[in-house]
Amino acid sequence: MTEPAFPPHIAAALDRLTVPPLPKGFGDRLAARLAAGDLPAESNSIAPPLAPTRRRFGNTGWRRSGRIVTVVAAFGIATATAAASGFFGAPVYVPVVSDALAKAKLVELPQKDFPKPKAKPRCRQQGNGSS
Amino acid sequence: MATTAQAIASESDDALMARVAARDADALRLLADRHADIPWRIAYRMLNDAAEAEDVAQDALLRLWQYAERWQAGGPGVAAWLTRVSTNACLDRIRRRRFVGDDAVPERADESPLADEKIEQDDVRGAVATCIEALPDRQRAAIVLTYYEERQNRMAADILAMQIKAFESLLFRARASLRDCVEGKGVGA
Repeated sequence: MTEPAFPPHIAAALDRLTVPPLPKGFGDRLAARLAAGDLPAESNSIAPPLAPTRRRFGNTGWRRSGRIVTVVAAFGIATATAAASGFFGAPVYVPVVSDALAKAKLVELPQKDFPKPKAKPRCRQQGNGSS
Repeated sequence: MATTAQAIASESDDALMARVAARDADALRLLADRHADIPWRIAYRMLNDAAEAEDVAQDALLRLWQYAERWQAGGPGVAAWLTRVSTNACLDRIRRRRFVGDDAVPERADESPLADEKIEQDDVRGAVATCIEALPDRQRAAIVLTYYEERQNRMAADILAMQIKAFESLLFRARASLRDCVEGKGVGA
């Protein structure tokens, strides 16, 4: 046995909200609208209503930070692409971007004129007691 | 002729819908005679306005006319379909009212002499109607569907496109708000 939805005194009050019978001539007015082609406009009433829209661009901290990171990253990629394609003068080798541009045959792969780092001489550990 | 009319009148809803799909206006009229009170009751209680409730009921039946070609026999039935359509139409209207700022429906003054008991009954009725109208739209629909239309929670949740747990939570809040409001007006004491 489930619990009643409302206590008896509330239910008694709610039951006072009775509905009168359909207005007289309802069927005739319906038929008249049908004959006149006065049909309701297409709407989403057949489908369930959409939930109230959420504020996608709210000012919560995470969303604001996400936007800042996205803008900075987009700016960085745009600048790197411009530098790699020679927009600022001679093309500069930018590791991933230059390779992609060269592969797409948009620019020549620039000389990697920066010196290669010399390998550090490896220190041999001596005198560890073996000899 | 009378026998034909009787034969049509005894047809199932699905058979009548097949006739409606074939553009038989008499079949729609018969369906209206059988089921028009469902959208009327729902809209009357949700909107608290007879003229708007009649509009909703007529629109729901005319949508049945528009939808007839897509009707699938053996489904939940015309009554369930009208319940869904009229509830959603009412929610649309409530949201539109809020959008245009017409959220308070003026009550009509009744100047006819009434007995004290009738006045008291009208007071209770008016207080309950005001309390239901004060509920947020989905809570209002939840109360009308489950309490007045006696629909199961699962079906009401389906109509409102909600998960059953979310609907039960909504219904719990709706009942609490309605109880507080009715008691606050001193009519449920």
